[in-house]
Amino acid sequence: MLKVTNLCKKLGDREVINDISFNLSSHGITALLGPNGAGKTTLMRMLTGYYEIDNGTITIFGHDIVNQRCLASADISYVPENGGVYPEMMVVEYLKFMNDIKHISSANFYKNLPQILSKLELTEVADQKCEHLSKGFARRVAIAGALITHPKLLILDEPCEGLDVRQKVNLRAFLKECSRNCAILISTHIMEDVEALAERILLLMEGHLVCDATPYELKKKAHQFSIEDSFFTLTQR
Amino acid sequence: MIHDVLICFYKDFKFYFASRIIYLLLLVYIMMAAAFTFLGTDFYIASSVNLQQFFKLQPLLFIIIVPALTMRSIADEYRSRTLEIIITQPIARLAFVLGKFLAAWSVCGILLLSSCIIWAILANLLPLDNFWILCCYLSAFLMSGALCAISLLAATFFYHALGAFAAGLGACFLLNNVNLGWIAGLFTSRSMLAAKIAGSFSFSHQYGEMISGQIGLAALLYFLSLIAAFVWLSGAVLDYKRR
Repeated sequence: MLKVTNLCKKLGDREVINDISFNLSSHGITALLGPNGAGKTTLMRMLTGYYEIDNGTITIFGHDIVNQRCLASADISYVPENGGVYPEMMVVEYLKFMNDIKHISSANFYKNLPQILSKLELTEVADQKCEHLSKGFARRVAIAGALITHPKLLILDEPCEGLDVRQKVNLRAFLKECSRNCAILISTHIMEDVEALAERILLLMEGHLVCDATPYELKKKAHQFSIEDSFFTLTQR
Repeated sequence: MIHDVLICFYKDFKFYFASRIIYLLLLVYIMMAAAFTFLGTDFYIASSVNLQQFFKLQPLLFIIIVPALTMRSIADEYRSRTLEIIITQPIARLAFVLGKFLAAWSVCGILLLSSCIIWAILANLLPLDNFWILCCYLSAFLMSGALCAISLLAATFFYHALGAFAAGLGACFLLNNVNLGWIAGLFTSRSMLAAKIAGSFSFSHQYGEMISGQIGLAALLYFLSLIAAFVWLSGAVLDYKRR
């Protein structure tokens, strides 16, 4: 479904992404791990078409993200870290905006809306302005905006940041459910999320993809019992 | 494309009126326009009364108002990180910028419409050349469009609203005040014709011609091409920032 080949990106003089290749299937959750500055956010921005590609290709269902950006991005939803909602909009208004911009019919929107609101526990704040919401609610509104259009590829940068324990558990369960029908790529520093969600792990280090494995394979490779310890072992300089 | 432009336009247009600042701007605009028309000139001792002075001073008002309108349109998208979301949607970047431009230009149109109250008051008191006034309104609307476009272009370079405002103010001021004839004269000191031709391309010259009753196709094309160029450049700057 997603095919990344020999991807390279320079920001200034620094090689942020260096010859990365991987594929994603049409369902399941993949975690993108790496220390700060490893290139996770840059890679996500390249996958969504926000950043230009210096070298390599990204295709989503056969559509090239550079030459057929509109076709490719129709299947992607992206939630950046710390933001992604219009503060002046009401929650429902924001969700409708996200629906309309993907050219999805209003009938579909009103059919999906109650389910999304209830699954992400947003029903009570549906008529509130996003600027009046707490960080956790705003985060869930951003995720709801990404999910309302039923994307084929969902890219989430730190999805559980700002959520309380119960919200985290609920969101994880919801993402698991969504991953049956769409591929989800998450970037996170919370190893609990990785343990609970990831079926596959991509480990980035200084712009290089140093490991592409299942959680079990990763632990085996690092000779550790937890993903956290494996992460420490494999990212040691 | 039109659907995308309309979505972006509607979002921004609604935001302008969600803020109280727009109503304050409206009030200030009408008060300033009325003050310039009735108090700042020889309006009461002039032998014939018209709105010439009012239209002459419109660029001055819009040079201040337009950057205040457009300063948040891109900076806020950076701040709330919605630019990352919107740029990665299946819409053309030009549609996104065009929507923003049209929203700001529409607000300028509303400001101009609100000033019709001055026209209405005068028309009740004295006989006026209403067709000429209508043409002047069209000229002022086109002039405000060009200022919106250049101000939006300036705003695309800045992550903060204040920087965008300062840049917009500078860009609008330059666009309105640069005398191309004078600049051409510096390089072609012997050719008065070249300086004259270059001078006719000045923003203030074109606007001056229009409000003196000479609305021609050339003037229309001049303003529309300025708008098109600046809007396209805004999209190009956003594109360039992806590198």
